[in-house]
Amino acid sequence: MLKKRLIFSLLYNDGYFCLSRNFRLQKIGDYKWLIDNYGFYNIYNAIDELIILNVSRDKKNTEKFYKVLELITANFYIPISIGGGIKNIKQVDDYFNLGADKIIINSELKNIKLINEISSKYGAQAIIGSIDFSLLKKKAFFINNGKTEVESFEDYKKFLNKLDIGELMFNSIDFDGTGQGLDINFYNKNCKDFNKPILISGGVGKTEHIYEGLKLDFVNGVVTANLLNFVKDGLIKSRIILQKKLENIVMRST
Amino acid sequence: MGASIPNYLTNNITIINYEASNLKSLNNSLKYLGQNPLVTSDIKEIENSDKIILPGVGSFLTGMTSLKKFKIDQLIKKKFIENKSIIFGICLGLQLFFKSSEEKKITKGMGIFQGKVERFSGKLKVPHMGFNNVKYPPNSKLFKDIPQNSDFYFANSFRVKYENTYSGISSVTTYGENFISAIEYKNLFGTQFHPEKSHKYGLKILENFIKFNA
Repeated sequence: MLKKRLIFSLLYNDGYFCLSRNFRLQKIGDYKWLIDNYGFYNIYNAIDELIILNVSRDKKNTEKFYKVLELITANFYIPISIGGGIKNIKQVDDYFNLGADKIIINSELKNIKLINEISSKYGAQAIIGSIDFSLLKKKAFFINNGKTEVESFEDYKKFLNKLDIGELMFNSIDFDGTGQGLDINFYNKNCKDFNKPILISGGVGKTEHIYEGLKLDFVNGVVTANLLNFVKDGLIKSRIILQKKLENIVMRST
Repeated sequence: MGASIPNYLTNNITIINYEASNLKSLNNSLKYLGQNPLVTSDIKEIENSDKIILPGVGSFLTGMTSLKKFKIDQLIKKKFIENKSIIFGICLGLQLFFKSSEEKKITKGMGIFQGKVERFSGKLKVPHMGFNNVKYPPNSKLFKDIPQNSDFYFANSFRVKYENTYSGISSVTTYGENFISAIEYKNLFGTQFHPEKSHKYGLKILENFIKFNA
């Protein structure tokens, strides 16, 4: 049986790991904080995959980010996906050389030339398409850190189903960082008929929220980026509860 | 991470670099297990290795073309016939041992095993992505000391259908249908999943491989 996935996402911004609320960032701590205070390497036993997103506005100063990536990827023997502002194949090569197994594309999903280049070099399974949406103004999908709106909802859905990539990750801008639970209504209405694995995120604040997401039969994984709600052994405790409630999750001896 | 780092006497391990793979993760995990693998496409260096890993992501066609370019396909077949060196194919590396693949267009593989590599049939989502359980044959060397039906990380759209003729040499995983998730026959080993990405039991598979006597 294919198992459901609990995925943790790190948001990196100019040297710091961050909390995000409705896509506004709050700095929490640097790599040393992550290791010393968060006990970051303990989460290795609690999660199935790791995501690292570089949300820095200044993309030129990559050296520091690359160093952090190298440290983290050398210690995690589970799939690692890296993303944030990927614009060209050079960045993609860098990320794979630094230990990525998959890369995350958001703004450049419409850049078919780049998508084809990545999929022929690393395979379509190595691309996660990231989709941000907001229902507050109207039903809309966004790219470019939630700033640029793209076409209609139904058209974008058709486009995504045809795209030669491995999986889709949805993130609710409205629920992001609120800790009040995932937008289950949206996913139930809109994500049932995709032909690719579906990951959902935005709003996870406690274990119950992860459970609500994972028990949807069309959902393959739930992503949380909430550094503070799961600090120290928080994710380990969540895992133990999830393993009791779900039969289709990998049983880890935590 | 708690686990102590085992330190074996290294009989040399070579990772074949044939321009069709992402080698960093594999390299990281072997280093964690105390190894210092050689990464090369040089046919002489591969020839002299006790243990050879054939990794691979990307398409079957690209992989096979690169193997032929470096004449590595002939070398692996020769080593299999002579039962020399231990060869371990991962993901596409395993698929290339088979007769043919229908990915992009029909392409001949090394043909060591008779099966065909085909796209998952049925209604389930493709790629088959994530952890799934593996049922291994009794007396498996590859899965030694690993609990039966443990989960390993897969990321593939193509697979070889499991048939009874593979009984005893192949592991089975189910995703809408039974497919070959690992194989071990004489000096040839392979996994459709990524041991280097499969948490502690994945590392255990690599450790078992490291401990094999060449």
